[in-house]
Amino acid sequence: MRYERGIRQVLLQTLALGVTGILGFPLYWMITTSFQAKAMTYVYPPELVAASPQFTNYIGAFAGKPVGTWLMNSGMVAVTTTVAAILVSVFAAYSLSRFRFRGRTALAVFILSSQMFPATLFIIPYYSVMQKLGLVDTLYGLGMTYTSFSVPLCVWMMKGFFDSIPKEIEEAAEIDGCSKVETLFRIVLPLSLAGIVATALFAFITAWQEFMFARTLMTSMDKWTAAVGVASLRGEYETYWNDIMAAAVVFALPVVIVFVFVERYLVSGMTAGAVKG
Amino acid sequence: MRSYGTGRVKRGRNGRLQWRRQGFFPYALLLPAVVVVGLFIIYPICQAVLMSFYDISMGSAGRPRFIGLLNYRDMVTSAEFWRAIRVTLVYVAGSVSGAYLLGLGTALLISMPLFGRKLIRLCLILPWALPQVVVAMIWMLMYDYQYGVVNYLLRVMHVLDTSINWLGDPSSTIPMLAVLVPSIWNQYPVATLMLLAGLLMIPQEAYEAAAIDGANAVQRFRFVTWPGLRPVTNVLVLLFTVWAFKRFDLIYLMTQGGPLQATETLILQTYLQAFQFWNMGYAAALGTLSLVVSLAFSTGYLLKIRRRGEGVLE
Repeated sequence: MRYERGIRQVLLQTLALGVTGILGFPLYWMITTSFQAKAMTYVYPPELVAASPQFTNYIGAFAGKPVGTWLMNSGMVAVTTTVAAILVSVFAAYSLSRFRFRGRTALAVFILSSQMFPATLFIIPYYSVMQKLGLVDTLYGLGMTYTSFSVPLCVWMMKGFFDSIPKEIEEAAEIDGCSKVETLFRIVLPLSLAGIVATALFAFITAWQEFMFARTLMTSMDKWTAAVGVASLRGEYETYWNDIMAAAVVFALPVVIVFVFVERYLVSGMTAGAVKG
Repeated sequence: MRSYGTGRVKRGRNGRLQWRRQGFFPYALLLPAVVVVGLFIIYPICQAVLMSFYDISMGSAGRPRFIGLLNYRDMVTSAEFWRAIRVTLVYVAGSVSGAYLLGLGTALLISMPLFGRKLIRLCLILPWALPQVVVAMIWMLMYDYQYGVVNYLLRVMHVLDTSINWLGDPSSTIPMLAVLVPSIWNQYPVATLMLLAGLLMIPQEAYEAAAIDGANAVQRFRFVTWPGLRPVTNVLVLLFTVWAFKRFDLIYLMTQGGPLQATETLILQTYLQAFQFWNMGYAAALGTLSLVVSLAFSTGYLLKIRRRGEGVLE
């Protein structure tokens, strides 16, 4: 990387630091508040740096409400959703990407347009359908719900990745005697692994943080997902911001950690999936 | 060749393209996805649209009455509905443009040679990783009237004289602004990532040619960077608009559409009509309208960019 000369580089760095500081401030605030002493929460002016940081907020957040259960619920649902959605979408994306057949455009539109439907429209009949199926207040029902929501976007993203793999490789494999299925598993999938990881991350994040359907479908407190649970911590009269922030940090942490690791895949993934070559 | 055939195009003797015979294989691959989407998404949507033609409310006492288009008539004659339309337009326009511009700025910044660039990029992308619930919580804390850090910092910097009740002020602009900021903050990294990738795909030679022609930095941006980013911009604007239109969690948790419906978008109103006022039929009508608007916009937008020759779905 060739840096700019002297003062220009300094100015650039200062600008970058400033922008990062401003945009990252809410994150800092969340973390600071989670460590802040309870006595200092409702104080003006607010202390910008926690003077005596403590972990008791974290313990308090887990002690008062079943935050641990909530997190486990979210985890189970998110992982199941991701696996199921990827399985279903891989085949569909491969079909749309590599084959030309009658009704292809129609089916593609069918699958992709569902991505745009506002959730508030179909939550109304959804609840009664789920009730009839006996799936209300079950994590299975929620998992199925999330899988169906994830499929359209996963198909779109993975189709983009598959499109970017040159057909010549598959043709070569076919000449060597591979069937279409073998080509899929042995060649296309390994090559598009980065894209699949990006898609899986997308599905996981969406399922982990989903709020509206979880709130509507899960009625008993011990079946709540973490999203519903954390939102519920803001009480009518008392708001223990420190505990809330602690719970929020723990809730956001898995996503952030996975995010950090996969970030560079995301950069390539977003271009391959979204922009045509 | 394999017996189930492959989707291969070849030229026949008359020179025209022909499809080879396909088997069921491609359809079989698609089947699970189609079933899942059809059962869990399309079917409830159809049901919801049907519901919009019925009176399903407290008044109908558990027995839906068919009332045809009456829900829709009530809708277009209701002031709350048109206010929701205005609110939605403002919110979507603000959210999309804000997130896009911030994404563009940060992408340009990251594309520069910087010391610690990877770390800076990571920090700038991080807001996207936070769940909407968490974003709402953080900003509610920061917006607090008495003890919030936003008021504090703005007063210390002498931008404000007195604290503002960001989420509760009776003027509609302040809560709207207050809701737009976290929305933009949560979304902009998507633009940053995609625009950054888009920037990297612009060939260096184009910049060099422009420099040879004597273009300065602003002109280089206008004539090389901006056109080069057009495909990415198209996708981003579409994506952001659809997402902003659909957004629920953030607004609901922060204001529940208030104060006095100042932040009640169409989506919020649909939800509140259904689950606060229990006007299911009317809510279904609102939802159906949202659906139509959503589809119309997406289709129109896709057609527009296809005509210009830049595809999204090929």
